[in-house]
Amino acid sequence: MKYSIFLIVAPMAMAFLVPFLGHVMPALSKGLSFLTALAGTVLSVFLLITYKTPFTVIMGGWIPPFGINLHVDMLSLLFATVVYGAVTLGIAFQLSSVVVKKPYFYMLILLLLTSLNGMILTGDLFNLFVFMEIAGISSWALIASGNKTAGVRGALQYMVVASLASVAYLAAIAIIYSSTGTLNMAQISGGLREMNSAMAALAVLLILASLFTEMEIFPFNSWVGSAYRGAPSSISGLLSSAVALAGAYAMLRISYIVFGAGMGNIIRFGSFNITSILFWMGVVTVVTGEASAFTQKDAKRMLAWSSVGQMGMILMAIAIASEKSIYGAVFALITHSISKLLLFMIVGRLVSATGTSDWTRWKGIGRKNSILGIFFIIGALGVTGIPLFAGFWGKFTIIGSAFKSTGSSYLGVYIILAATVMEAVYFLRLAHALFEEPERKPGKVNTGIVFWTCTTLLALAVVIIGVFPAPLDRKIKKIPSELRGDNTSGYISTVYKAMGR
Amino acid sequence: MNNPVFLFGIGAFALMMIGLYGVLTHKNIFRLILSLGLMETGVNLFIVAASYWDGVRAPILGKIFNVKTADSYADPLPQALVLTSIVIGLGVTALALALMIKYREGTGTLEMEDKREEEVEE
Amino acid sequence: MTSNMLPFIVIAPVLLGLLMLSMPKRLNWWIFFLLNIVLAGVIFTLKSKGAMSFTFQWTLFGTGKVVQKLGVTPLGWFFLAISSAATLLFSMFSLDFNDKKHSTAIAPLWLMLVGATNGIFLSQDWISFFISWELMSWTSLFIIGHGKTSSFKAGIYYYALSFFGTMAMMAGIWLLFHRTGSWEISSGVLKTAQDLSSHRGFALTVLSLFTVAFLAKSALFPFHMWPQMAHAEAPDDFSAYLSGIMIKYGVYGLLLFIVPVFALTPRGTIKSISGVPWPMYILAVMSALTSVIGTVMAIFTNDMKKLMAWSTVANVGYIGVGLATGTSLGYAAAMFHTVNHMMFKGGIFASLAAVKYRTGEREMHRLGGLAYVMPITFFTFLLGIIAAAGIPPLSGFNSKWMIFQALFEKKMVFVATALFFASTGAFLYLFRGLHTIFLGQLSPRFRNVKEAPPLMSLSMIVLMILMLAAGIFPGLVTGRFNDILVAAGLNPIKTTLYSMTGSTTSINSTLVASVFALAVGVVFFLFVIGGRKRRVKMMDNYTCGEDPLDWNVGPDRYHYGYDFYQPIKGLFSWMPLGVVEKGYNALGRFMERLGNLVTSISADGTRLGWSFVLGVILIIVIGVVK
Repeated sequence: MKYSIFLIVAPMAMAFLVPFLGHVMPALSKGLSFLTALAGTVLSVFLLITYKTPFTVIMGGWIPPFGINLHVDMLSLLFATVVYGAVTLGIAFQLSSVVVKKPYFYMLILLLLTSLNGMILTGDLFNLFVFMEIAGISSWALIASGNKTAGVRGALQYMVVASLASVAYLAAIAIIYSSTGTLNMAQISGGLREMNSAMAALAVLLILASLFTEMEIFPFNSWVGSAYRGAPSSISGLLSSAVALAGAYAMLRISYIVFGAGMGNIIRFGSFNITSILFWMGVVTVVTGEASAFTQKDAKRMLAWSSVGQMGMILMAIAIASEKSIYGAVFALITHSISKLLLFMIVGRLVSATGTSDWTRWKGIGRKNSILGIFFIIGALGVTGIPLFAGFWGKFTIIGSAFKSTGSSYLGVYIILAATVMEAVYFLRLAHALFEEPERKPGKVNTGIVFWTCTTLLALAVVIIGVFPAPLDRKIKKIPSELRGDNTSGYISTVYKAMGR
Repeated sequence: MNNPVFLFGIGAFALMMIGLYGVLTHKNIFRLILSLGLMETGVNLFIVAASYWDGVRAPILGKIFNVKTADSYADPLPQALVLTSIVIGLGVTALALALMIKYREGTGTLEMEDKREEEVEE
Repeated sequence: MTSNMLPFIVIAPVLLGLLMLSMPKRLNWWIFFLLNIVLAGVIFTLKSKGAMSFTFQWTLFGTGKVVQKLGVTPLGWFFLAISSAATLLFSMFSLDFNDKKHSTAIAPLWLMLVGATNGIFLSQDWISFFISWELMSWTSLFIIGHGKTSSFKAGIYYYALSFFGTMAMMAGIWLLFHRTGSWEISSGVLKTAQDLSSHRGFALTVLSLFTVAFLAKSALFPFHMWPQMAHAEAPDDFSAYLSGIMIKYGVYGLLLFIVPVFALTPRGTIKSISGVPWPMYILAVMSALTSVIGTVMAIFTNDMKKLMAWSTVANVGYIGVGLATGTSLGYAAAMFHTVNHMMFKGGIFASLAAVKYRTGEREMHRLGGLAYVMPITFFTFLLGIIAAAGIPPLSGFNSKWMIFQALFEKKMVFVATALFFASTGAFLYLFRGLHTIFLGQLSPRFRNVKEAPPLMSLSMIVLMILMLAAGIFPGLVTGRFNDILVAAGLNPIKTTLYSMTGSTTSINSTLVASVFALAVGVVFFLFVIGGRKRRVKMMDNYTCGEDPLDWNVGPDRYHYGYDFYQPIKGLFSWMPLGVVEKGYNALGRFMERLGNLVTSISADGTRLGWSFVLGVILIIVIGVVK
């Protein structure tokens, strides 16, 4: 099980190799980066299949809390698998594109892959910060690689907000470290309660602000429209299906382990109630995100804001903190990644076929390319959460858990349900526009065997998970119990065991 | 007043606020980057201040100090944290400046503004 | 025919529909027709096999143990039977309608929709019900849109309201599940009935959430404005299905869940107004309001499909009133009117589709005199509107009579008055449609129009026969109701093949029809032996020798059908008719403004920082206030 370190190290090593190799044999370096991601996918799937109980990997021979530990449990393995799968498909999609990227681009993707897996596996707050920054740097560079001004603009906007977030996070680390003397998540989980409650609240506030930025929660998400639009579509897809996913993962982990000392137990600091912050920020995000997507004429911006809406719903689920809500949140995150990546791939090809990302000018393009149009509908229904498509189970469970829990407000749930009407409207509006009478002759969509393989895999995944959720269910249902504080094979106990206590 | 923690804290807070003021009031990208740099310096100073202990020594093993007297050492970890964050800040600033130059080439301006009708690629 | 047939009639159409996406259009319509024959055959043999069910179990962590159960209940079978028979007729109609010139590519989606419909009527648990319900929603959206920008605008309006209802239903399903611990519909009914006395607030929340879903689907107030868009813009052959069957899902839902809950609640547990529990009384008032609005709007409409869509709204209002009384008679009346509406509105929309097929016109004042060239279509329309208006020898009279009897029984004066008003108004708009489209003078443009093609005519003839049969022998339909009523916990009604018994009196429809036929025969005889007749040409009258073109009035404008009821429009000007629609539009605009506001945050560099600061403030405010 020590192999799990390769999930981080292998892409990092390749990231150093690729630019040098790229000078000599560009094609080989690109192929190699794809193979790295593919190998990582295979490895993570293998780990997922052979997984039994959570375990801690100690880095560099230093026992935590002096050294850094990686924590591998079902939650982190599942998310690492999704990140690897998404990046693999993203690289394949980019390789099949008419826009040829330099080897540096693939180096940056590998770096992004490294940092996202680091974020997911690490058990140390400062280490998380470092990986978050690397993820930030590599994604800004990738967004800017759109080679047109839109990309640079989006990257700069993202950079400004994310830098503020990282400052906030560092300040929180300073406060926590000076009070508790440790940065290990499992150890802090007890310590945070013993801190001066005003200081603890300040630390929590700063951490929440930075994680909300990662997770695209309103109003920390002012950058998403420009960044998603400016980025190449493969990168927009990854931003939504891997970067935001890692952000949501960090949110989940930190709110349960660091703030909560185990699931279902998110604490209050004096009058500072974290559960209601998460819950109502989620509700506000859903409403604003769906309303923003509803107004967009630009397909990529629309998809970006739709991701924001989904993240809001997932944040609400995290706030509810019951077993079912975590199950729903993880389910929704995974299926959202799959569907959104599919949508971005299709949108990317439509952008290059029509020369515009304004979907009102895409009318009729699905008539010639009906399978593309049908895939778009599948993706759209998958994100919206219509039964028989993947997104349904997550959304359904989240809503159900919200009606069961005492920590949530029914009003908020009703608001979210009403706001998702907008989501259905704008997705199906676009889907139908693809089949309307064309105003001008639609251009030819550049497809190929690689593109069809990627999209078919994703579309099949959406439908198969929608109809037979049982295999995914078997994996995800282990997560809630592993997050419990009182579970002897849970997160905190496992790390303490590794420390020899 | 003579407590270094207090002075460091005031300085760190002041730097962060000046930086925040800059971020909030400027559209010019170069000034934004400078302001963010100031904030980062402020927060680094804050980490150092927050882990200051009076009357401890530098944690360097030698003839006088050894493992037995470890209680009188300063905590070495914050230094490592600050160093790491300085390095990261350098990387971020370098990338931001590179992006700024590219932005200037594309738009002819350094003002951050939003254009909705820009061309996009696949 | 084993119980394995139950999933077959749900899944086979859906899968075949998916397969048909890759087949040529013409072949699709044939497959659609043939499969509907098979489905109708299977469904009609189900009944003789008695109670049967098919269960399918699975467990997910999120949903717990789910027993998906498809089963044939009396109510479900009844809706299944009438919908499959009507679908068969409509698919026969579509077979000729979708020729080269008029073809649409909706057959695959329509077939999936048929599967979803069967699923809705067979589901015995909320999960199957919800899955079928959503499948029905989005397939029908794409059918209404059918690749036309203007049609899709209507479709998305329908879908937004419908999806809003679906979301309410999702909330209701979960609340019910947490209360009962099972997904079964019947246990939900029992539990909610008990909760009405013990946990009233909870029970009323659940009931209102489900009611929102059903009202939205059946276009009852305040969701009454979507049919005039969706029915009018849908493909012409699909409008019949939309109005005949799809509008009844909500009615089915109300009969399935809401009415039995109140039937099982003992008297006196919940306050009643004139003998009806107050939530049901509100439902009755809302339904009556729906029929008044539908009627008034229909009177002022020039578009023939819109007119009939408003008429559908008015008729669903009658059905709603009937079931809201909560008595056996009301329940039976609601179901009877459902069947009748399916037949006569199906017939009317079919004949309108035939008119449009031959003439390409939708505005009534451009038509006229088509009875001379399209007699079968004319007679279908004629019988349809006679039934819709509730005139004796046809079926509509019987069901309306029963609805009024149910109202008299409960002495619901206000509601009855509103329905009388709506019924009278129905004469105004229905006969205007007849007159304007089929009677009067034939425009020279349409002299060469032919009768509808054979299969279209055949399905219209069958619909005519059914309407007459249900009108003359009401027992053919009402005889089926007693099983359903008993299953819903109500007393059976008294009925024979020829007559119906209401609360105050009984009526022998066959006798009424015979008298009516005799009268018509006498009048026709007098007409035949009467004096000389002369045909009037279109341009002969009206203008007293002046040329209307001198006043810039084209032949359309001086057609008497144009703005026919302009004079009485003033009478209704005080009614705030568009207010609900304006409310929805305002909500939509508000959301757009909110979206623009949110997205404009990134308009320049300074606001990025401010957004971060705003976020921190928001966190503090929420964290401290709550």
